[in-house]
Amino acid sequence: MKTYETLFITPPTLSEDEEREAVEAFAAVVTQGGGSFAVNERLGRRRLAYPIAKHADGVYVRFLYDSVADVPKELERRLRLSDRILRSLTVRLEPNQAVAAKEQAVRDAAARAEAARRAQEGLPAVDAPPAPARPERGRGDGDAEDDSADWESDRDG
Amino acid sequence: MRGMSRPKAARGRGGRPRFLFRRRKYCKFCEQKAEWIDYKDVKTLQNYTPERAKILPRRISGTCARHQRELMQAIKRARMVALLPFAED
Repeated sequence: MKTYETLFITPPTLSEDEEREAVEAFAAVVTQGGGSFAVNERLGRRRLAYPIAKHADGVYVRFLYDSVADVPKELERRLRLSDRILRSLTVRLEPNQAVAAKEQAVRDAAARAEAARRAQEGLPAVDAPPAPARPERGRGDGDAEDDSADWESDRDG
Repeated sequence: MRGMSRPKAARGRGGRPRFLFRRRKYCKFCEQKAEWIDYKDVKTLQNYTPERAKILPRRISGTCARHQRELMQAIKRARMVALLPFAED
């Protein structure tokens, strides 16, 4: 069982439902193939560095999963065929990277849970998790002048 | 690893030795003991792609050989998924 990471981009013009259906369908490919997810997250809308299919923004979704080799192959095949997907990239992670990525995912999830808990209790939010993780919250929708390294995420967890 | 580049011996390059930049001595990735350079980590990657979105050579950025290779791979991947541009004015 190797660890794979698949990133794909959907056009921002999809409705929430369409997007959700599509993502679920792709996620199903993984689970049906016997893969186990470590991460299935919608990173959010983001300005693209260059237009793809005439779109300036896209919605990024990330899967991080373990499986046998057939799964990413099939997943990629479907992503390529889909007319709802603008681009995809599948990477196989080296063992040390895989471990690091999963640990980071756990930390991110914990940090988000912590932030939510603090928000509920009315405490000031603790600093965003350090280093490579992208900032937790976006600043609104398709802000054209934004710092291009920001993700807008709808996961406030 | 050499800290300062010596003027190269003339080898049909016009003969005159040039002084190259002294590269900054350390590799930031090595310093952080980063296990992995993530292509999604646009903030970090952007530090290594100045104007025109080129990839900085090692002698300027000071990264070590191994991390430079990883960095290049990460930047290229990021470009493929439109997290970084291929070229910029």
